[in-house]
Amino acid sequence: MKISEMEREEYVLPGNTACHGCPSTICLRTVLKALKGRAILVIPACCTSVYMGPFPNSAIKVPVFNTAFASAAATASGIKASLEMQGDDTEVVVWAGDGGTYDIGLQALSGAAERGEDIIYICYNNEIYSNTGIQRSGATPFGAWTTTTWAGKTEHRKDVSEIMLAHGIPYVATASTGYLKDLYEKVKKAKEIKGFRYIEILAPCPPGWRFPMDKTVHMGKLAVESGMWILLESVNGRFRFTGVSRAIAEGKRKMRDLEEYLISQERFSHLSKKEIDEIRRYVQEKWSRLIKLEGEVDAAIAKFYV
Amino acid sequence: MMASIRFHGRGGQGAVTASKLLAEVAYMSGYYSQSMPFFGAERRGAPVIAFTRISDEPLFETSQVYHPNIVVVLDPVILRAVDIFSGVKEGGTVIINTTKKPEDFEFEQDYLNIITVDATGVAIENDLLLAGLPVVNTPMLGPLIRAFELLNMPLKLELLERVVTRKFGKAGMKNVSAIKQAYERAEMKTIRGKRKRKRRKKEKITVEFPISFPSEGVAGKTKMWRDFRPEIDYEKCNDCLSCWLHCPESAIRVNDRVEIDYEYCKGCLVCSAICPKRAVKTGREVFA
Repeated sequence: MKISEMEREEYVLPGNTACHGCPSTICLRTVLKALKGRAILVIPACCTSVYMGPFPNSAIKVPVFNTAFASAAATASGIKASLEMQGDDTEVVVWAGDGGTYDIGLQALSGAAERGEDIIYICYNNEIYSNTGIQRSGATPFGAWTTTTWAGKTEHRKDVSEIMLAHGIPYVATASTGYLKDLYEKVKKAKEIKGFRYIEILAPCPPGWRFPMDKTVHMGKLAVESGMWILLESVNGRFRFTGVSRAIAEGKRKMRDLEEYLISQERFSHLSKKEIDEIRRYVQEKWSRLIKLEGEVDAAIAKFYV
Repeated sequence: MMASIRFHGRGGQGAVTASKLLAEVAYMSGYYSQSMPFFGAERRGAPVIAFTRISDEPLFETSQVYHPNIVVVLDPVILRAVDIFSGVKEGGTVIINTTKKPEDFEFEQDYLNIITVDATGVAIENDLLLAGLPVVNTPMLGPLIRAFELLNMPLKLELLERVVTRKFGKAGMKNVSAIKQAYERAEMKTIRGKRKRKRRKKEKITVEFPISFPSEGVAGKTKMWRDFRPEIDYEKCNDCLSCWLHCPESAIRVNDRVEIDYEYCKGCLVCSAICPKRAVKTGREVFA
């Protein structure tokens, strides 16, 4: 798809209070363009609930329901049920940060996925609680500085996209701020599928990750190229890598050095050689696990259809 | 005797740091003191408020300051967005970082002491720059000492210098010379208020279902946030629309060609970094 064929209408209006170079506004614009504005957003506590502005104005041009941190997926289930009764097919989209997805909202998310609610859940993952001033979250990677992990986080991140794969829902995908066309296509694809759909977007946060504000998109690309973030997609159990990650998995493209990604952010500036090796080990392990998973899924499907 | 101080600045200029430094100096001078920022969404470039209370008796009040004796304004541009004179006590002192004269300001109070100082100029002269932008919070502490002289609550300049050197380490000496210079250059006058007082009407309280409606500029014209200005070179531009797709602010409009909406552009320069033809030039933006 060419950029010129995309929806021209703006659904995130200018003059909001988002920081300079905010990845969340970039991605929300793209997502709402892909849905052509036919969506009801459910937003738990996160940056978006702040930058959309105070009452009686809103910077988002679609209906938004602001809800409590823990209950985004449950609220969306209720709204969808009401719309179904009225015979309305408007998409209900949860737009939550990683705090509202990885930590506080996980049980509601898991419950809605298990019930098979017909909603799209999008997590924009900036790997910290950035709205409240850069605290660690379940998505913060090993070694990263935050205001609550001064010497670097000592645990690895968990991966909710893999947890959602385990739920066996019809659509799971990951995307990155660096590849907006890919995100646009994935949202369009999700729109065509019925059932619970989960999309996770890596959102590099300039003040939280400590990098210059004009490098947001560049950092989203670098994360994928260095293998730290993996673009994948699972449609009805058919798991595969997409975009640059696919090229890396198939050996068509060389992975960029992980250190290049780490050095470009000040939150990793204190890392020792040993800690960098630990991150490298984690990334390699993750890759080999996912590549194995892709192979197994292919083999299982081949066996089933013979 | 209690003095309450309100700091106005923009996110990143160090209003909160200044309020902390002042509280520390006051504590070392033998007063009771407290310092607190205004809690809200703390974002770069947005208007920021911080408060300090200083007293010779123990402090039990912990709310934010509504009626300050002293107001410190770190950024001249903020005057257009915020009413800095709101709630200032009669005969209070307002310290403004500006190139204007004290006579140029209008307010509702009968009498106020206005102190003006070109702290931005002082910072540039003393090579006090952080990421290319002048640091104005420490120079503004110099004239603040003068305001305390008026209140008969003297704070020692030497103590301030000691606190600043300890806090900033190597850069401490630059800060100290900037504080001294700003202290000497500050221009003070007692001014009579000219603006008419607004009568506040009693508002009827109505209960509404809280529904917001979409509108542009919920945070006002965000051009004030801009420190850098992107400019499209149309000779190089090949209409790939990459800048339009990646703009975080929806401030690039597509008409016959891509155009930057300078009313709302925050100057994050993502467009310049993403442009494959390098057709977006960048320059410094100066408003005041």
